Amino acid sequence: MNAPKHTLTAASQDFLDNLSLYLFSSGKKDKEVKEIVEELEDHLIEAEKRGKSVSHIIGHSPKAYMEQLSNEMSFDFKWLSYLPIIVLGVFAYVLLGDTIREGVQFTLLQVVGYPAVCIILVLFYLKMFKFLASTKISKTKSITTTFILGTLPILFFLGLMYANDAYKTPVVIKLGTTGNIIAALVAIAIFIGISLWSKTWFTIVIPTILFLPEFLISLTSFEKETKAILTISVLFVTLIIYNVYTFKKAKKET
Amino acid sequence: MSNTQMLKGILDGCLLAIINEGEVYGYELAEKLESYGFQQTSEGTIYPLLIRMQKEEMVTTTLKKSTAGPRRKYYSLTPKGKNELQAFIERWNQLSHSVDQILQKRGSVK
Repeated sequence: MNAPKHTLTAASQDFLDNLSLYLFSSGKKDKEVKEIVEELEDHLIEAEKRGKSVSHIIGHSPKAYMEQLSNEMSFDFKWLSYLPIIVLGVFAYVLLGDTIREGVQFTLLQVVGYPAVCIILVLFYLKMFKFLASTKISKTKSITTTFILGTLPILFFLGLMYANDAYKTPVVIKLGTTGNIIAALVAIAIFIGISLWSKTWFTIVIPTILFLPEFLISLTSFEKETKAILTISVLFVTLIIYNVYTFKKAKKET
Repeated sequence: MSNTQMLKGILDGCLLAIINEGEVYGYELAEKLESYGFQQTSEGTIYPLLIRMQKEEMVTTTLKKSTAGPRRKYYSLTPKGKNELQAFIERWNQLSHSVDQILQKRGSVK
């Protein structure tokens, strides 16, 4: 970013952030979103220099104004391709965990349940982001909502686990030794593929932290309990190290 | 009928006319519009219209560096935009002529 810059008031900056989120979760083209946000940023800077308020620019309903802009912008069908990729990512994650532990075995409920849960969650998140971006809510309320949104996937997947125990549906996939090795390789390939596609290390780093120690410990000849304790402690320590590392890196960048 | 409803469509033509005077960026455009007496509309109203006009290839844009802040988007008319402006001027003249005549004949509100 270029150096001497007029800083916007919080109200203006909030509006721009919310507009980005609103348009982004409406599936608008990235480039178009950036363009209009940049253009409005310029406009707001000029307007603020002359002492005008945000409502002078966007009218009295930010939501109505966001809708007006959104209606003129084109939907990006690229977003639809994110859904199968997220499903694939979760699938690889479950697959790799299973190959290390008891071997891959899926019931009918799981085969249907995992993709269904992923799709429901993604659609729900998009709707919620759009809603949150265009509605003014208090700080406490937004913290609570964020918390609920954050725990939602855990609840869904736990729910699926319990349902799978409670309702016995037939096992539709069960792999032997070779099958499990192939499954693990497929899962790793998916992680690398998503990492290349998204140009982030995330889908390589997280599975490595989660699974590599567990895998290595499973090869040792410790007692079952020792293995479990070791796995959890190593996981705990590496997650902390990773968090500190990303936090420091993020701090450096800003 | 509210002012905003009446303005719909007319504002498009006015934007074309102002852009026709020479390359402008968003804020400038809003200011010019205001200086001609369009004070009730909020300044941001022009952007959804500009996005549409760009999609319909009435205007083209170029990005230029500005001294303080993000890059600035400048608008200019395409030949298609010029045709549309010409058509708008003709439509407007006809319409305003008719409205004038009615209002003058029927006189003021009693």
